[in-house]
Amino acid sequence: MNEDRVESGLVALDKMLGGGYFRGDSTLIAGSPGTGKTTLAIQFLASGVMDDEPGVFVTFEYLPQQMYRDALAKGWDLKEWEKSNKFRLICTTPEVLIAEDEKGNTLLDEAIKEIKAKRIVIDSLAHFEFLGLSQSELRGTIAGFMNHLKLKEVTTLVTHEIPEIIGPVMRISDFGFEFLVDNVIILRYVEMEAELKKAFIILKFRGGDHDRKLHEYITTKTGIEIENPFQNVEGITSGASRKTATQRAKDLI
Amino acid sequence: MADEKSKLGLKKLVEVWTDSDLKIEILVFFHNNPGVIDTVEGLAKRLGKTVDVVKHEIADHINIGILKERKIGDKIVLTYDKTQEQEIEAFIEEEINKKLGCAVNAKGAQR
Amino acid sequence: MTSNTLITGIQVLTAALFFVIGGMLLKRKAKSRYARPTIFFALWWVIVGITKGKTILDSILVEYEYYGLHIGLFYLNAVLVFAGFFFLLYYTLVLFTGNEKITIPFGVFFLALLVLLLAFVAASGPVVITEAGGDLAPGTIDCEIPNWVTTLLLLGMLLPQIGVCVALYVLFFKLKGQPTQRYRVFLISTSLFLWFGSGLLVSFAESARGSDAWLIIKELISLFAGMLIYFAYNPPAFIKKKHNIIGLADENTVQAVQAEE
Repeated sequence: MNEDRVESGLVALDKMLGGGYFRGDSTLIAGSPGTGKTTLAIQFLASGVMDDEPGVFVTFEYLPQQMYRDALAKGWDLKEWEKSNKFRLICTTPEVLIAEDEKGNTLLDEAIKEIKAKRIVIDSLAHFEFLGLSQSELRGTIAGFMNHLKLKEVTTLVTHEIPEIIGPVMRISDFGFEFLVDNVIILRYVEMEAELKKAFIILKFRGGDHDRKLHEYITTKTGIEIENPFQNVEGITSGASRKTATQRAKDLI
Repeated sequence: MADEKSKLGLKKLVEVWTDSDLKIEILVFFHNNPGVIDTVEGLAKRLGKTVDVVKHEIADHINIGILKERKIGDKIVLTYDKTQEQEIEAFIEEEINKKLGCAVNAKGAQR
Repeated sequence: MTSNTLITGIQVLTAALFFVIGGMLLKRKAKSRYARPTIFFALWWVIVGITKGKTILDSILVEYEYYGLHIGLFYLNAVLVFAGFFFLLYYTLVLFTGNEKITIPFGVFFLALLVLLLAFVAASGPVVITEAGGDLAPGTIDCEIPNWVTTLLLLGMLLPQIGVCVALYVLFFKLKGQPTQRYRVFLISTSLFLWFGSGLLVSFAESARGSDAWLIIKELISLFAGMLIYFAYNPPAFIKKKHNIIGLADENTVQAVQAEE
């Protein structure tokens, strides 16, 4: 097994993962809208830029100009990264992305080759659902795509939107995307006594021990910051978490 | 040689400036979003225009090499050629200045 | 000094102490979402003081042989006691569940009990006992309430409060690493046990012996219960230092400094 680790871009997450993602592994970042999936993904690529590990960001969702603007606001100059060949931003559709030329190369293969990319982000997997494929065909397509990236030894993050903003039911996808990746990270809103907070959960981490605690995280001007695990709180995974009586005692007794 | 060709292309675009705003819109769109790789159908969706109109309007862009057509699988996609980026930037700046100048002049005339 | 004077003296001290505690807790700076339970908890202690004050007023009126206010005071006291019991339950339920809505059925239940009590008392034509002799002391309200209503009222009012005491005691064992809260919850739950327990103990003792000594003990227990609450929020300096506990005054100062920062 390849024990080489890749930094996630968040010191706290690396610690939770026992040193970072395994090189070549794929990670699904699933979360409701606005939970910071894209930010987390760019942080991952930003870390690569610093470590001389170029990255490709494939977006089906945002126009590059939005990405440049939003990233710049957080201090990441994507255009500069592109100029120095440490980054590529591809805005396309899933059908174009998976299409192969006569030599069997995809657009992504070309980008990887062009900048010697080591990290890939696909934002987001939900768009593959619009390909009009059956459930099994779609699973097969994505599995093939993921395997292809694994063979190229690139570490991949794929985002996926969970429609439920809050609530006891949390289905990652109808297509079982979570089974096609090595790791699954969940970003979700939790209601805590009339306050909306965000919880960071590592649901699955293949091949290694990881922090199973539910951590609070915040989105700051410079990206996501994972904080300490929720203490004395129950029911976080149901979306409607409650502080325990011992936690409330601080305010009430 | 390449420079000459692109200048010629840009000049041509300037000539049709009054003819079609969409041509400029496409140019600016790709300049702002150089990473867009899509089919004509996809581009039409992104621009909020019909496929036929976009297909007609991008012909010039393809001719002068700002946009490139390539076949991937059964799809023909459009990609933006970033090598002319500096020139296009200058061109867009010039056009914006022209427009701004017109606006200032119009104001002055009103006074 | 007669035993009556002694009892009244202790009662005055107790009432004053509970008013001080209530006032002190009302001034507490609570987080906005906990403002209501915090106020209700303070009001509970104010009501405890008022009911003690009512007992004192009853005795004074009896002393002056004036019985015109007793029935009115009885009704007023009943309303306040029910409100107080609800406030205490509300506070405890929010503390344990964080959910204020859960208190609504309890509020409705207490209101129904209160209406039931007032309806039966009013329908029976209550009379104030003015003559010494017989089972009832002067100033007592004599009214006919069916046994099942009395039982229902006792169970309905006391069981939730006993639950409150037990729950708070349980919380004491869970509060590790929070010395101040642990100390306070211990004294609060002990005080509540004493408060409710003293009433039951003495009603049993009174019927068994009819002795004034038991009434004095009851009042002393009430006073002690009040002192426990007072010290819960104003711990003596040696306890503060030894067990790293802060008083209510220190707590408000800390919050004010944090707010300024």
